[in-house]
Amino acid sequence: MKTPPLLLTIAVCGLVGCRYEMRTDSRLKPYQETPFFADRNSSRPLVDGVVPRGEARTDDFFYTGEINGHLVRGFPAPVTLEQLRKGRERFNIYCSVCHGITGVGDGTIVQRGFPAPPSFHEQRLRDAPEGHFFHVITYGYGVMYSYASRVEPAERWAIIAYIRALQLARSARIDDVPPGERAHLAENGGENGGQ
Amino acid sequence: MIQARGPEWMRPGCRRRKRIGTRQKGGYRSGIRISRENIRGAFLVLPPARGDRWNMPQIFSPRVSLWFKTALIVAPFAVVLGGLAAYRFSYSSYPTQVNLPLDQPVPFSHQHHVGGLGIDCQYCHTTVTKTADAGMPDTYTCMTCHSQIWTEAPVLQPVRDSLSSRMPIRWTRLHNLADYVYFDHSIHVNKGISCTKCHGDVESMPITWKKVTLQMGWCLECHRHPAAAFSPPDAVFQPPQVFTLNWRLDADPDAKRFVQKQLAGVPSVRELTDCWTCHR
Ligand code: HEC
Ligand code: HEC
Ligand code: HEC
Ligand code: HEC
Ligand code: HEC
Ligand code: HEC
Repeated sequence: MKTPPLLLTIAVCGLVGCRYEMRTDSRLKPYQETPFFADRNSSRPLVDGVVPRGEARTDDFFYTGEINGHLVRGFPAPVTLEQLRKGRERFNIYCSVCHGITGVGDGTIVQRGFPAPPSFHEQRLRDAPEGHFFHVITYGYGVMYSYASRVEPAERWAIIAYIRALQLARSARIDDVPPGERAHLAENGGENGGQ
Repeated sequence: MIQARGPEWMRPGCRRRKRIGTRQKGGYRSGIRISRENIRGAFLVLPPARGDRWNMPQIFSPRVSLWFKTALIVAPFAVVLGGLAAYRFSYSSYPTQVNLPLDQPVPFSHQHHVGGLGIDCQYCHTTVTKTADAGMPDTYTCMTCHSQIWTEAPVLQPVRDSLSSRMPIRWTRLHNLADYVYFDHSIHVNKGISCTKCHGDVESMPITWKKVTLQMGWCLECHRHPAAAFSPPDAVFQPPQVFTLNWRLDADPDAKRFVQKQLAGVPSVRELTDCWTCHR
């Protein structure tokens, strides 16, 4: 009768193996809690003065939208179609819930009681410099919060380009469309769903 | 000519091939010949073929209790059944927590925010196309709207507390891969695999739950057939609409071309199922 103690020993050794050390090793995943810091947060804020790799903010135009304290007009680089597409995508994600798909300020959140933003098609905003839009996205404006943590500078410029395109589309007439493209427009209702 | 060596049954041409049993002075005693007839005889409980001997020695001495004998016979069945049960259990919803809504500090509803208000997933899960991690909304993100809407609601008290105390909200995590697995959202989402493929119909969940086991078999299932994974380009972040439900690979030539294009850049199935792809 040697076997039962032997089997028991093996079984106990096996149970010892049932620990979770490899499932959760000492490396911390994003957002994981840790007792190491006072606020129990493993994601740490950057130490003052740190410049993330590739983000040295040397270009005032691109990173602040102002030069010598004046809001800039125009874009840091010529606007491309690719950038407009990106801008449309980002605008529809971050801005359309309040400002509406076309920018008139009738998004779903506004319909539920959020204060209505001004329409982008107002003369004041049509005349506003691009730097103003950059500032609004970066620092917020009135009851609108800042989007700086969610929208990178390059994306901000893409969104601004797209807002400009929306404003243009509002006042555009059929004569502005090159003749070759008119049939295409009638067929598709435009790439933006007929704005 | 082959030199005949060894015991009789090993010689070429010998009818009896192999014996087992205890070797004794006078040759093999109490041996059973392993032949097709005998195996059949043993398993189908047919009488053994003629001429064979079945004089097996007694295994148990009469002193061994009946209980012990029964236990010994039942034990293998118990082991097999227990193994099967454990296997089934490991896929059931209890350990994997599939379809099980967990308690959250704030009863956040994807149904309300995504299905009802039409907020894009990326509004809150910002980094899903950029990094391995999908990203969770910070308190500030909730407050972009809730600074004006439902400002008095008691369910949102933890959110307001979090903003004033600067302590993050502690959501209960639903998906949690083991740390020895490497997963990256950006590669999957940018390729055109929709959130719905892996997280189910999140936009109709009043409280979030997990739709898949996240076991290795689940990942491999898709990595073996990547062609079936892609969604139409417009539908990656949107709830499946009618047109996407009708999106059939074989029926729609556009769909076929799209998948072909997506697959062109995808590593081979061998690479996708290679261990180091996920355990690196
Ligand atoms: C939560 C709703 C909401 C979202 C999302 C939102 N805004 Fe606003 N926005 C507002 C409101 C409300 C105002 C008016 C603020 C005020 O006057 O107090 C406003 C004002 C503005 C203005 C006009 C400032 C002026 O001079 O009057 C601009 C430009 C603007 N938003 C751009 C954006 C862009 C770009 C985005 C996307 C990155 C965005 N907003 C996202 C609510 C929102
Ligand atoms: C308004 C912000 C918001 C939007 C929009 C949003 N989510 Fe979430 N999501 C959250 C919050 C907050 C949680 C954490 C609480 C919870 O699990 O319900 C969460 C949790 C999740 C989780 C579970 C994470 C885990 O493992 O605990 C998944 C999966 C998820 N969201 C997917 C999506 C998808 C897919 C979409 C788009 C269809 C989406 N979310 C849109 C805020 C949002
Ligand atoms: C883009 C705007 C927006 C954002 C961002 C947002 N909410 Fe909401 N939320 C709303 C609106 C609008 C309502 C009210 C819906 C209605 O009245 O139908 C609401 C309602 C709620 C409710 C109560 C209603 C219910 O039954 O779900 C909770 C709880 C809530 N939100 C939690 C959150 C949390 C937590 C976050 C941050 C992850 C968040 N919300 C982010 C717009 C938003
Ligand atoms: C290929 C399958 C797959 C797709 C597609 C996918 N997810 Fe995930 N998601 C996962 C897995 C696996 C995890 C668990 C990751 C972990 O535990 O490290 C996860 C975790 C999450 C989490 C929890 C936080 C985190 O990053 O761990 C959120 C939020 C989330 N996903 C949102 C989304 C959204 C939004 C989309 C669509 C844009 C999406 N997921 C698409 C598989 C997927
Ligand atoms: C719905 C289908 C699907 C599911 C489910 C899925 N994957 Fe993938 N995965 C893909 C496809 C398609 C690719 C190829 C993308 C490419 O490289 O172009 C991929 C690629 C990868 C890569 C390679 C990325 C690289 O850098 O080469 C990793 C790692 C990975 N998946 C991990 C996982 C893990 C872990 C799971 C399970 C938790 C999982 N995947 C579930 C479809 C899927
Ligand atoms: C597509 C991604 C993927 C590939 C490829 C992959 N694994 Fe896994 N593996 C996983 C996931 C996901 C888990 C489960 C983690 C969990 O339970 O949370 C896992 C778990 C495991 C475990 C732990 C036991 C378990 O089932 O939980 C072992 C051992 C393992 N894998 C070995 C391998 C070996 C060997 C290979 C190569 C033949 C391999 N894996 C290839 C994703 C993968």
